[in-house]
Amino acid sequence: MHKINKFRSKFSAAFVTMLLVTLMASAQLKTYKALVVDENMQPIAGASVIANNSSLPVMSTVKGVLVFDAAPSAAIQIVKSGYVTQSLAANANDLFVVLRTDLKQSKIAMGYNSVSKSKNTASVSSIEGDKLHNSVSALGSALYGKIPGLFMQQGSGEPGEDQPLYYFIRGTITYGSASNQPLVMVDGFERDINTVQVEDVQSVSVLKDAAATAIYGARGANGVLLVTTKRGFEGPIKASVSVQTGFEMPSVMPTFLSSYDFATKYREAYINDGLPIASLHPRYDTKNIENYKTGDPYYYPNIDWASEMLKSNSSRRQADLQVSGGNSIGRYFVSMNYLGSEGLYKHTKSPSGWNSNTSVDRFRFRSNMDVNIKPNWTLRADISGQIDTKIRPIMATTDYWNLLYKTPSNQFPMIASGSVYGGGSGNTVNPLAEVQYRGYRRLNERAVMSNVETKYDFSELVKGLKVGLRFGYDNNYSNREGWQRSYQVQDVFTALSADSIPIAGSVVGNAGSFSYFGPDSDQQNDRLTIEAFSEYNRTFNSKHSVDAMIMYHQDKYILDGDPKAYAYQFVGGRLSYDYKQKYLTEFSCSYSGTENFTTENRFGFFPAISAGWVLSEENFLKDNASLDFLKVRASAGMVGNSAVGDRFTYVQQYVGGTGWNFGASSAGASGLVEGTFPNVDFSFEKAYKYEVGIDAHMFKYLTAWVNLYYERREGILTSSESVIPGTFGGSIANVNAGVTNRKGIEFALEFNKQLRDWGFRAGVNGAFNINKIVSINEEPKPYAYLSVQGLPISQPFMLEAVGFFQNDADIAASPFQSYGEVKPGDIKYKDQNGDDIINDLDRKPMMNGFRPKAEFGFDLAVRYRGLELVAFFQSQLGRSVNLSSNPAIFHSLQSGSSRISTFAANSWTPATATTADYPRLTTISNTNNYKESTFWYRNGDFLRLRNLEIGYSLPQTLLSRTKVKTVKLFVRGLNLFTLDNLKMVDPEVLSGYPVMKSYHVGLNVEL
Amino acid sequence: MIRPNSKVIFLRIILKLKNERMKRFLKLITIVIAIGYLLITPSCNDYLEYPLVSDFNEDSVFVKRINVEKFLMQLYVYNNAKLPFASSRLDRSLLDAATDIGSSLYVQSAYGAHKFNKGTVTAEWVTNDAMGEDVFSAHYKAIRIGWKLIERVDEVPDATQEQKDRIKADAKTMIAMHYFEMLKRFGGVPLVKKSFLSSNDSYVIRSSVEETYKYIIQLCDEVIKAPNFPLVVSDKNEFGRASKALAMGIKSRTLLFVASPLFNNDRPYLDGMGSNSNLICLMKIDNELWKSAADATLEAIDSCESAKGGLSLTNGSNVDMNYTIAYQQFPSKGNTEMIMGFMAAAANNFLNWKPRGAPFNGFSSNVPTFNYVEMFQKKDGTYRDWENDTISPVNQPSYPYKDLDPRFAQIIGFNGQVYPELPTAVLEMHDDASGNPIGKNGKKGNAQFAHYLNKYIYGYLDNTSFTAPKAWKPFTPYLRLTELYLNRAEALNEYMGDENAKPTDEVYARLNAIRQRSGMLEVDENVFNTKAKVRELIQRERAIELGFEDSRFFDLKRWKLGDKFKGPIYDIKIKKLTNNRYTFKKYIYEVRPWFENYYLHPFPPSEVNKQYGLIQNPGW
Repeated sequence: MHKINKFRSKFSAAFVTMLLVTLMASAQLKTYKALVVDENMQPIAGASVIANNSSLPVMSTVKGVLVFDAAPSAAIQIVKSGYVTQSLAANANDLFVVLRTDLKQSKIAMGYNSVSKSKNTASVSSIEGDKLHNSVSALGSALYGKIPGLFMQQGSGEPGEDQPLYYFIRGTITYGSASNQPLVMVDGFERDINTVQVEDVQSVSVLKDAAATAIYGARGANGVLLVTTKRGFEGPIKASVSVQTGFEMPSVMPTFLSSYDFATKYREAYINDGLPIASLHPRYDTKNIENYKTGDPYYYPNIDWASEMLKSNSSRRQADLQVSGGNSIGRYFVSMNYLGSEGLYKHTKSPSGWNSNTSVDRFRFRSNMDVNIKPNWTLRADISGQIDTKIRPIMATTDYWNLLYKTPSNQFPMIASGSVYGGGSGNTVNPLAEVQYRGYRRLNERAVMSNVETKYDFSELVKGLKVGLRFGYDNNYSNREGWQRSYQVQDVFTALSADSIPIAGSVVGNAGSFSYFGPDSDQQNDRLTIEAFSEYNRTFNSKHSVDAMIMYHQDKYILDGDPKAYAYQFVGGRLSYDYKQKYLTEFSCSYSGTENFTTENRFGFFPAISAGWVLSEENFLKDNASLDFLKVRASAGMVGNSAVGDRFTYVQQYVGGTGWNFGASSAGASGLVEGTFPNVDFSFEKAYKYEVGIDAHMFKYLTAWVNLYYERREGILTSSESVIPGTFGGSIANVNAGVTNRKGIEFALEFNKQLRDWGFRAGVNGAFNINKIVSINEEPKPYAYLSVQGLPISQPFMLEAVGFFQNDADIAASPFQSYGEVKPGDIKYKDQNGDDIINDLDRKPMMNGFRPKAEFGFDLAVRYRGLELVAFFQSQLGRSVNLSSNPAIFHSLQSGSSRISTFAANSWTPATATTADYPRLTTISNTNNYKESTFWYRNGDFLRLRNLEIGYSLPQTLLSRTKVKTVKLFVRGLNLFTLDNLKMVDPEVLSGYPVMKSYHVGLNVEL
Repeated sequence: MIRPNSKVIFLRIILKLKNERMKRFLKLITIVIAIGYLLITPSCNDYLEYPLVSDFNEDSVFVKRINVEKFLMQLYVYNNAKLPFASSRLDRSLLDAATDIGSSLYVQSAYGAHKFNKGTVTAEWVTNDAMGEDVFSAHYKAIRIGWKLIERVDEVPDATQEQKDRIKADAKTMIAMHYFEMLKRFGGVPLVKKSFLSSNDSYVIRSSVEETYKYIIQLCDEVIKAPNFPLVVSDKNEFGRASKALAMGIKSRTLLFVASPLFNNDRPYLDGMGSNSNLICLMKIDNELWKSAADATLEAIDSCESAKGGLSLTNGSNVDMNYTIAYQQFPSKGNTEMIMGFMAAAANNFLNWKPRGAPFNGFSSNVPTFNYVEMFQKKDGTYRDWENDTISPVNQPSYPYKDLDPRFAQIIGFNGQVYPELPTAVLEMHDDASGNPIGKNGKKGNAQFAHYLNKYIYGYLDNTSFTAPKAWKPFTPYLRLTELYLNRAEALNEYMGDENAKPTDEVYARLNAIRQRSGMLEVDENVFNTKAKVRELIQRERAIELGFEDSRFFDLKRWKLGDKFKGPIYDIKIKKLTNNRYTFKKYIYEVRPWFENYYLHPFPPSEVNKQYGLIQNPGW
């Protein structure tokens, strides 16, 4: 407290000295000094003062300092374009002024334009870049739960591969091989969202309804994700440097039985299987088992491979530089970024210098330029790129993690002798040798993205008319190379000699010399976009505003190795009109086509209409003190989805067949076979979307909005063969006959209150949606419950586990289970159709799909002066996970697993019959227990602390004599804790490289 | 009062614009239109056009003979009559392993024959699974190709009339063959008589047994009269291609099948079809069908053996190899009786057919039962007594098998057998005196029975390598002249009214011809002197001559001898005594389930559920 008072007194003292002269000159006036900041406590430059309705000739500095003289009793207002004008209480010496963003003026990025929030009638959610934390390697990873209706799932935790697996807007709505992914646009061009650096992001918008996406026509139905990067503004040069370092560790790891416990259980299972004890390995003799406690760890090891091969944490480093500025002629925003990150693997350094530990080194740059060639002629030219170099062990990542979980802990030592690694019968792969000896892969990825826009303002001819052109050209390239060799393993204990000494087996494999492979797996993709547009924007009589745009678009995406490029084309536009910003209406449409469909079906017309009514502008609400803004809006329209899965199935091709051979030659002669019978009406999906919403601002610190929507998707590709007779004699293409619908609700509520030294922000957002298959071609089913019609998309079907068989009598009295012989301790299933046989006809729709029905985000921020605390939680509800997706952990002794995880610790034995929570262990393959059933499905709901951050900005007073504007230190934790129903695995990533939790320390300096 | 119309108002507004602004406005419009034109016009026409890569369609096929011939190849792909291998039809099982004469390797429970032998055949599996017995829709795929060829081959500019005629006849013969293959499995089936242009046309209901068989006969008759269709295939590069002889054989088979009691019956094998029973039998007994079968078969035999046909029973220098040559060798190796065979065995599948155990180390996927062994006569035409235990003289492990039909060693591997090409390896199927297995070479292992199947490997075992086959390329038989002989003999015998009458001389002559080709004595007409006795002889003779050629499975059904599938299935226990004598003791190995609904296959339920008139066979 003492310190803070000191700063405050310094602050005051500075002003007092500075203003002495002025004070003396005009004694009848009072000198005000104010610090002007925005809601995020960032200083606002260029704010001006109105005293008694006349403007004063002063402006706030870049540090937000505003000093002016006015009569003590004057009515004073602080004004800044884009912010709500703030009236000041008089009679204070140093004033703290928080200007709130004016929603009527603040713009929100839309498809090919931006609209002020107050006039927007479409369904759009967006987030500003400065609300995204930057301790992630992919922009997508900063978005979890932030934007209501944007559903994402975390992917692997491997450095360089930790981007989200998918971005679904409002969940899924189409099925089969059609895509649910939205169109992702970066600065107006279709690009990978994860090539954008978080620091460079101005805003991310999610366009949801038909009104927002109709311009994208046949590609808009799944919604659009828009990323806008920062640009330079007129003013002095601004520079920002950030560095941060962090360390990461798995959020959760599975645990396994020790070798002793394993051996005991294994022996039991082996005997229960009825296998001859004589052929059991001698290490499992009752006497020898004790050696796992006290014996020679060479012959009786206890190796938890995951802890032997993994470090407790791995590190990452990041550095960013941004420079921006400009004048009335040219403006620039330039950034550079470096990210380095290593994986968790241990023992990866080879004596000869190479290191196979997974790692990524990434360098990124961006340069966004704006030039006024003439006062009415502007040019924008942007270029950005990235160079990624990734190192990986030779073995694929998921395989390696499975190997760590599957490799027996008790059967061989890590190293047999010298450079011969431990192995066992059937185990020629050794986790240590894989990273220490075998070699490494190197993946090289490069991407360059560039675009140019030129716009000419024809206002002197037709007021409000602009015409322009845009070009975009992107290219990315990747390849792979590496060094590898083979290694030797030896089973040190194949049998016991007569005098009880373990006998070693022979050395298996060859220790080859290193050989170079690659560069191979080359992939090179190009995208060229050309657009021409014309805008018209004018307000008549200060009442009638018209905003119109018409554009032409074409782009072609050429994938390396695919002669059939993806091409898109449209002519689209929008026309919006409002009366006094009170009654709003907009029509937008697109005549849009893709290369995929028949000439007749190639193009479609996609219209949307929307309207809004700003009630708070009406007289009966205008003066309501607590209601700042209230708008109701509605939209309806039709949009398409051209990512239907199949390509060109309207063309029937004759393709190479199996062939046959006549005569004595056994060399097969090539045949020709009739390709898939065409779908002559092959076309895009049509989405009919309807939506209503309310936007409100109350009490000056509460923001709320809610959307209700309904969508019907028609023309989804669905199988023909399941309904057309086999007598047709050919395979038949899918037809556009599937229908689904979905409805849902989204909302957000944000509380934002600033006091002089304190700031509070609390927000909650949520999205809930349900979808339903209305129509699908499926084979007629003998039981109604086997049909997917009427169920949600991706509804899992499974057997209903009703416990374990208790004894032979129980088995005899129960329906016959057709998946193989059952014994007491095996999973017993419910006979759903009463036919006394358990088979696939007893699989019923149960539990939820993997994707959530609902998602919530909780945002909390507290500031006291320079100190701030931010926490963000994400929660997904209404989802199920299938533990069988990671058999290495959950299917103990099955599917190649030679271990027993603690998940199976309480397995069924006659003694534990009543308390067991896992079926009997068996050393032989068991099909019955590992069928998809309610036993393996778990509730997948979770609540995760995505981000927790403590930041401290040095006080302005301390920096006032330096050129430094801000200095901010922060400590941040990601994924620090997760509440869920699972043990041993993460609810989002069940197998492979796990989800990481991480801690970061960083410093940001702005000049 | 005159109101100015809207056009006039618009004109006035335009004229109000200053001349200078007007000009610049027009200039702007021109620029915008010009840019738009440049961008849109050249691209709109072709920007989204389908890229012309591998755009090879049906029309491209029928412009060149070479393409049509490639398409013709695909017509043959859907044939079932080829040696099975892993993950294909029945997963290495032969269909006769699902009868009383055989079994499949029992340690491989996935092998298809087990499902029949254990009675666990499901409608989903048997005709709808790539590893089932027969995929229902595959027949219609072949039929569609056949009709396409027939309908369009005339358009091919570079094909001669001869070539076109032959391709059409080829296609029609194969269509007939597929319908016959379906008739014997399902009874009456939907008859598709053209290639459908739209899937909407394909809602075809089942035809009756009578309509189906008559359609097959009609197709065969058309082909038999067709011009430019060879009687038999003589070009060695074309073995395995259709011919008139094949069409005649299919006609013979079809009539024989329909004349047999399963279909030639006034009541179906199972009730429950009501008025639809004509889908599974003729609903009448027509003895004249035997006559038609006999006549059609005689025509086939005579044509094959005519100067133009040039076929005859195989008659090589080594009578003990004639049978082997006849069922698997190419004509260049002396096979003169193969009418149709398929060359589709991959050399590496040899492993599936060799005996188990060292030194062969094969899988012996299919094995013969002792029931089969018992069917073989001795060379003199009498039967060996297996009911009483046999004790061999000292050091004679194969004592009971000596003097058996020479075909025995060519079909069945037995204790003490020495393969001609492999004198170092002796099959040892015996146990020691107390019943413990002691055999070394190709020892019993998991062979299940005390015999191995030699068919398809006999003559190929190699002295130098047990793993690599000596150019193993069996010409898998589909139709041989001997089958026509047996068909003729059976039809003539059955046509006779009286069960106790003696058959005509030709019946004996046909049987004797086959026996003599393999070194057997003639049938003793004094013993086999009635229709009933000769019927049983013919049934045994078919089992031997056509064993493991997919014949017995359907023969037993058409004879309505379903109970034969039950067994009892016998095996023999061989013990080597300490005095180096061997004992042979017959015992019941198992009794298999058999259900009346097994007489015909089920249609795939997914197909029946489409409800287009595909009525399911009873009991499924």
